Amino acid sequence: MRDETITGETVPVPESGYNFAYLDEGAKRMIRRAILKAVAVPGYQVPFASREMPMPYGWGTGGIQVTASILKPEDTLKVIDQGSDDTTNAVSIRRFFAKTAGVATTEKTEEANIIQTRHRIPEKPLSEDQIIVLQVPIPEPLRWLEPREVETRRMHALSDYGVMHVKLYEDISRHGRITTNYDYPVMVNGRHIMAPSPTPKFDNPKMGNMPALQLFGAGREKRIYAIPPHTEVKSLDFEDHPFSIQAWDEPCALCGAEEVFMDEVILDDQGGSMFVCSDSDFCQRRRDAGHKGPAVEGDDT
Amino acid sequence: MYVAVKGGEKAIDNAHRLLAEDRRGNPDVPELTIDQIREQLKLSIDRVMTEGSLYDRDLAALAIKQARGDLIEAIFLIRAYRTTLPRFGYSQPVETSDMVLDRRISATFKDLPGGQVLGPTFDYTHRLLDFMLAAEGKEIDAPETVETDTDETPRVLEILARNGLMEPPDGIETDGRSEAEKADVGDLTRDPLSFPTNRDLRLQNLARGDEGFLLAMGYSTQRGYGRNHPFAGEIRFGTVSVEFVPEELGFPIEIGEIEMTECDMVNAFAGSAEAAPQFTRGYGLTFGHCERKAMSMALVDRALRSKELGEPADAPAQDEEFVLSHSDNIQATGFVEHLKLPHYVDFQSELAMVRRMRAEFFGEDDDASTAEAAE
Amino acid sequence: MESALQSRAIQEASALCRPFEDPVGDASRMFRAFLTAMSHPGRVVAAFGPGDYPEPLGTTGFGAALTLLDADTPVYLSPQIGTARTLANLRFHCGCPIVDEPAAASFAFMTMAEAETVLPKLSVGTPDYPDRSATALILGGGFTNNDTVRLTGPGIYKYKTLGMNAPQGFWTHLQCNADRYPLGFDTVFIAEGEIVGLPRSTRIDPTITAEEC
Repeated sequence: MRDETITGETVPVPESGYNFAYLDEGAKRMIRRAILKAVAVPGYQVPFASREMPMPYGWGTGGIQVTASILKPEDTLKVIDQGSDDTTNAVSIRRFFAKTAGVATTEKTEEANIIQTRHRIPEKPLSEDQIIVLQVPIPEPLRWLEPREVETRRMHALSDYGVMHVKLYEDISRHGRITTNYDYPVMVNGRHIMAPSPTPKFDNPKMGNMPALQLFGAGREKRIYAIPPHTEVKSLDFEDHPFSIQAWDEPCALCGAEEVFMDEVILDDQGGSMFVCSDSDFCQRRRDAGHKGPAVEGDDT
Repeated sequence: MYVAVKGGEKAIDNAHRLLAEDRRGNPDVPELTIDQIREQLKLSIDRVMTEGSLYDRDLAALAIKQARGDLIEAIFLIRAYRTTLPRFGYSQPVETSDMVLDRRISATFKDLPGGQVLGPTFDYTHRLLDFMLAAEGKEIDAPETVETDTDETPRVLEILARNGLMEPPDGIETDGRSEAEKADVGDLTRDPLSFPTNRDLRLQNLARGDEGFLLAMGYSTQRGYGRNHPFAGEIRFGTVSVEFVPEELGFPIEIGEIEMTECDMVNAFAGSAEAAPQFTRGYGLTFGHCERKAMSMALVDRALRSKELGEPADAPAQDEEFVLSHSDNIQATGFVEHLKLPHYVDFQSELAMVRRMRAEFFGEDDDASTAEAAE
Repeated sequence: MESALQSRAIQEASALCRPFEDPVGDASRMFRAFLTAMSHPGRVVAAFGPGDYPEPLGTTGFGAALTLLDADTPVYLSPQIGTARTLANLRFHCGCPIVDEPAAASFAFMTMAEAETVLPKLSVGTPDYPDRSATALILGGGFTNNDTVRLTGPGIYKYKTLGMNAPQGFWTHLQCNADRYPLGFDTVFIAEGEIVGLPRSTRIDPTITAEEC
């Protein structure tokens, strides 16, 4: 029995009465087979018999089922939500696995070999030895354009993606730009249009040719999909309106990092705010290494 | 000085303690027992069992207590527990014609073999608050008990079916499926639903579906959105036995009795080139006594058959994908309530863009704190 | 004296092999080997199985069966694989239905020599559901250092070469399979202690000339 993990959370022995990582072996086998299919057809959404989990649908049950099915006892797990290890839902999911699987957990990106995340990809590049599991609310990238599954399935079968291009083009003619800022659709392996989950489009370029395996789980919608390592992922765009990502004029107020995704923190009711790294582990590690942003320069506390 | 949002863990622990305290309420008031909930909040129990898809009165009572009376939360607890249970197999179909009846009414025939049994119902109560109930220990007048003979209470629709006025129970033979295909009943808890689907899976989905959602959808058909001229052919509530065939025995044995509510709606159908004019049916079945649910389910079942019966299908209740994708209250509540989770990142993405677009709109220089960089 | 029934029961029991020592943990470790193999096509990945196994499957083949198969997976066994002992063990430990037709299988076990006859019959899914396809588990193919094929595609950084003792014409089937993408079956080669994955998404460039599809 392990008392302390590297994060300092107390981990009891796996909760008795439930199987390792909660799911029964039959459910895991079914999900594992779906994952292998997903890897074989990158970007294609494999239907799976999603189970009811002890957390609400929409709160990461797809990612949780994928993680539960891939976990082995020797793994070290990191869970983030909105880039942070310490938001309530990330804490809740991390505890769930610490309790039901007894696996080690960490907040350090490079120490984890499985990272479950909602809406962000860590700033630190991932390696071939890691797997990132993304929680997905709506897996169908065409859903906003065509609500019917029968129709969208057909569109994927025929590579009939005209509606998506029309939608993006209408954006440009109306607003002068593509107005999608997160869950920005991508073309995977030159064949399937895929929803990257509601990550900011800032993270889209990280998905392409990533050395780590990316798995996507949508529990309520009962779909699993994947991007294998080193796979081409292209954000949809037009020649005269190339894909672009968010950039900030000022560095992180705490660690001085640039070219990272920032959270805006409201400081007062007079419009004062500052920008800090959304990836809390990345920011903390930089500060530990002595980097300082404008808000803490000259501050020795 | 900004302090990063920390302490999620402590906050969660304390939230759980606050929840436990609130659940208990004033400690001077005696705590509710599972027995009390099971015996005195029976209709809550029945709904939790039906939509939770698990027939266990004690667990349903525990779930209701734990959920502080929030029935959707209680259904969620039951569903999450249910998925962890080992499966031994599927029971034989229950024979509702052999139901030991507590209630049986028909709106289509004044009298019928076996007669009508009003049973325990709110139907003819005057909805006046009974202040006597506020005083504990009220004496109850013992009701008369009537023995019903199940041999003499055939289902009303079977009577109609005998002379060809009613379609057979599994539908008019227009959906092109063989008997064997119809006998192969699906299970949407084991296989993800794919569209178009068949009536077996639709009925399973509706049986697990939210009572309020089905009530509204059923109601909409009565108001003209997919009208199908329903009559309550029969509503029966009572006890049926459940049989199971263990592999090693090879024949059915009775494993218990459960209470169920069944509703057969009679609907008109003009007939087609292949089928003679006859009545059609919509079907509802629930655990326990969930009459409103069973009736709503029957209305929606019939509405969803419009395509099969060659009727126009343009109303919401007739739209299979729409109804089946949104009927489950556990899925619905999870996704609606997930909006409580932080969306800082997505919102920040939108905020940055709206700022930029406003700056352009007012002809200002791009002074917003974010710009777009070419990849 | 033993009755006929008793002796039959004893005989069948002796045919049964012991499964994984740690059924839950070992299945998770073996699955990860499969996941790595499918995520990195052409890479030789360490795998394992129980010490006691039905001969034609080998330890790793038996480990694969215990990890992937159950009542929901119809399984085809080629003549060389489908011995009474294999059947008894798969039925008992996995509970999987055994089918006679490769087309009805979601998993098909075969030797390299039998692959040519089995592969063309495997299910490749439908345009709407390309996942409703089979996985070919090819046993015994030894991996060699002579590069016979050059692989590119998802999961592969630049390119990867793979050497394997395969009958002539074998690669043609896999090339035809890749041409059907996103339809197609997926392949895993299983040797003792090692597996190699070859999903349908992998493009196969022969160093040996392949015949026309």
